[in-house]
Amino acid sequence: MKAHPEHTCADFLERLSRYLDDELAAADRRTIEKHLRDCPCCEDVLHSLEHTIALCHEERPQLPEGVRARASARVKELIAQMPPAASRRKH
Amino acid sequence: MTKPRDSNLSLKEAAADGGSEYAGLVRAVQQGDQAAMERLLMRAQEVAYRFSLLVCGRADDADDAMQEALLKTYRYAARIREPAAFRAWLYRTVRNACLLGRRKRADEPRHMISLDEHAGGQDGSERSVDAVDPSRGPEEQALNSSLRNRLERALHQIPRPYRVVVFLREVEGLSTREVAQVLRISEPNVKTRLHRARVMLREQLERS
Repeated sequence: MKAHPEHTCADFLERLSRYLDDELAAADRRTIEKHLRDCPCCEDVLHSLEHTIALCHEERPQLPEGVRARASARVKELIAQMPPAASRRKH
Repeated sequence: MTKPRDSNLSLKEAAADGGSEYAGLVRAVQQGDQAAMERLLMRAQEVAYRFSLLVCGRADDADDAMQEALLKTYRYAARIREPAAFRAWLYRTVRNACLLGRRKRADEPRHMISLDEHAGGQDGSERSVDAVDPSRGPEEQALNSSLRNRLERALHQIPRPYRVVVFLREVEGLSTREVAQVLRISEPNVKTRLHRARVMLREQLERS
């Protein structure tokens, strides 16, 4: 990573998340994009951060069948206790 | 040139959609819609399950947290004045339930579990957290499982205050504002933690 007269790579890296989240002002975004064109190291970091975030987006485990069955049974038990007035208002 | 991620824009939209979907269910519950109540109660338990496993790493906490989320949602959903605030309330309730379970077991040895190792039932009958998607071939399923295990291990290597922010923001798709409400910290603090968490997670993934 190289040093720049006015910024260091660390300064850019601190702002990468906000860049990825599209939270930077246009001028700041352009500054970062210029730096990314000049600095392969920072660009690599950016890509690996994107990859990390994409992995997280896919990490949403579903309930295993047995756990789901117990959860559903608890729901049915509670629903059966709902006041009749509430049930009548359904639809 | 890399540009701000389209996927993140989708995440923002998903966050808004997710929040409004919960709000819609709460409004329906308040109109006496029993099916909406059923869906809301299942959602509450699913959130508690994921939080327990991915943030706390304990299967036994999951069942307690699921029951707590279920009962509190049942009592609260019909009374909440601002349905839009329900999702943040739910995650805060789940977080508190998980932390309470953790405090109760403070003297017990720490035990991390793997999502793929999680037995689920008392009898250990379930061996996997994920339902098998028949549309995916065995190779893709194996690859996804391997990536998931790496991410899961990496998640548990980063400190809990950062892990919980990643979970809420990246896995569950809450907005920055909602995460701030759940954790009772400022939005700038959420952004700072999220950035550090992403960096730590990336480092852990690269080591694995």
